[in-house]
Amino acid sequence: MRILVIEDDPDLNNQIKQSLEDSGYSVDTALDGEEGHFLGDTEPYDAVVLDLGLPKVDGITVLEKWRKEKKNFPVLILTAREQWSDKVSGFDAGADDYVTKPFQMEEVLARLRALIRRSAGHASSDIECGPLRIDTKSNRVFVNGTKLKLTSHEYKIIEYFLHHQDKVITRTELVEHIYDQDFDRDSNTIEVFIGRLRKKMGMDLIKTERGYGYRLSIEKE
Amino acid sequence: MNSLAVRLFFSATVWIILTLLSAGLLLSDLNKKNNLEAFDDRLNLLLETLIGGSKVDSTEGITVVTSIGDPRFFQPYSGWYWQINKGAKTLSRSRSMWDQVFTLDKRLIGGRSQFVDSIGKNRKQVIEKKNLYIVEREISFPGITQPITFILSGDTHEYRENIKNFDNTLSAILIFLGVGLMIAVFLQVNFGLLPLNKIKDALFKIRNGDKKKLEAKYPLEVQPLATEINDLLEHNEKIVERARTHVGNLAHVLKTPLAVITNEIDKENKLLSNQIVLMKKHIDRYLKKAHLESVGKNIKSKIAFLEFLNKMVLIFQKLYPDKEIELQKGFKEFFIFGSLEDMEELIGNLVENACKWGRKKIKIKFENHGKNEVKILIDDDGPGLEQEQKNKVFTRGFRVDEQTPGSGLGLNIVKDILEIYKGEIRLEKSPSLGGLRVNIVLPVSLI
Repeated sequence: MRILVIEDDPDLNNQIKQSLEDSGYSVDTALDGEEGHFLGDTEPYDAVVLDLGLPKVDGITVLEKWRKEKKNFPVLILTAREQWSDKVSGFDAGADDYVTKPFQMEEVLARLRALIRRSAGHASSDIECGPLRIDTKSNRVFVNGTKLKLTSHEYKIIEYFLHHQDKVITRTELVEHIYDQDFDRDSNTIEVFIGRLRKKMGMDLIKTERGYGYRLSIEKE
Repeated sequence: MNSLAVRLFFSATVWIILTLLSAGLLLSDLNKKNNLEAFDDRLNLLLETLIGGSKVDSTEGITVVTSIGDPRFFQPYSGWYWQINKGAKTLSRSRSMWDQVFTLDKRLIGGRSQFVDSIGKNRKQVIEKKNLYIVEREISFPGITQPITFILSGDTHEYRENIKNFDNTLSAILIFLGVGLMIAVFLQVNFGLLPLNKIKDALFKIRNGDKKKLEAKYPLEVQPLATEINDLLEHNEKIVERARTHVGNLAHVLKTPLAVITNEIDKENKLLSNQIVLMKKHIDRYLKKAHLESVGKNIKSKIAFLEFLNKMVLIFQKLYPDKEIELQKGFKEFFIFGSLEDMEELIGNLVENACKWGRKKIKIKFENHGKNEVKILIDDDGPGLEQEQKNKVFTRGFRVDEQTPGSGLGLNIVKDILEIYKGEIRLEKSPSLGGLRVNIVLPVSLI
């Protein structure tokens, strides 16, 4: 899962990035509205954390522009203002949730998780696919009740598959959602990860669609 | 003397009284003179008639050949007398003198006309209450050694009566004029000072917060004052607004570093954590206070309330996806005249509370309340409130649960908003859901 954090305070920005990365997300950051809008416009994010008071272009404008351009990733706004009029204008612009500053990082994480889940159409923090179950709260993956030991990249891939079940996912898409912008991307490593995941799960839930990519599905062919 | 109206009225009144008084005295004096002249002329004419009607007697006496026709000269003690003297010797006199004689004293000699109080010594008995005006002339006749003195008197009663009548009429006219002028001055002062009174009323309204500036057009002389006051008010408001913005900005700016610190400190460090919580509380309180100040002061417009509420419910469905919010359908759209900010704050706080405390369901219903009011009922299926808590929730900073985030000022703002919009709020038990029912009444816009 790849997340964009737009916050003009470098320290807070860094803290959020750290916490998100610790929770298994790939994170890109921007310090102003202009750069933030550009990133959101060009990169496929699964969710955005957006501060409203930003230099150059303010958060509401950024959000409105995205929504006009049909970008519909979930957006969590950070605001220092607690008045309802500010919150309402945030929602009017297309926000999905808000957190008021100062916040506990756990709150941001919990709300982001919920947003990503909801945007994928899942109601609970546990997502299942046949014998496979993932607890997005604790970043744990189970097969028939047994916990799998996964590296962070492996976890990111399986989480993405579970959020997009029965959908063909190309290698590029996987790369885009798993690595942050600065990472030296090599789509060949994806094959290695998929191979390792199949082995660790002990079953072939991730099918290869020749010429297209991969698909997570329980149906027998 | 501290009132402009009293000053103007008083000075004008003094001036009017002085002017009318002197005019009255002048006119009265003039009239007196004229009357006297006329009276004098008449008596002189009578005297000349007497002289003309007299004839020198052979015995150096005078015989009145043609008497004056006026019957008053025949009425005893009528005040109208004549007498003809030769030296101290009385030659002839009118019938009306009866038994009296004009004694020629020094005052009368010299041909002057004069008032006297009496004739003769027995004035008390005879001429009481009669003022006489006497004219006298000395004439030398040929063949008579001593000059003959003709004396004629008239009762001044008629003349005095004339003057008195004139004076009475004059005073009546002048008093009438004075009163009229004073009424005119009173009206003029009031009319003239009307713009100032208008300013006074407007300033009172501004002080009460009903108005922001002097709106009406004022006369040329007062307009600069009104403009100046408006500028001053605007300046003041700007300063207050700026101060409020600064406080708000300061508080907001503090929140980001506070967020950084919150996330950086060791959770075990109770001292720091507590201090940070305290800081957050203070910041929140000042922000809410600043916000409370602004309640009711934003631009007002007609708000289609159901449409607005629908939008708010959509937001809450996003915020609390696991809660079911049911908005009563089919109620006729109603309008509330107010600022959107205030309404957002009102509904935001109330519905958020319901979402926070409700377990699963929140219901929003409407009822007509009287002609001009709508009742809005927000029910939840949460734990509700004890009577004691119900009494306390509206006090500043009271929080039902210290664990649930919030500043404890939300309901306080709600109460303030409702007070300003002349609404009501009651906390009850929800009959359908078992939790809390918030019952608010809002006056609707009739136009």
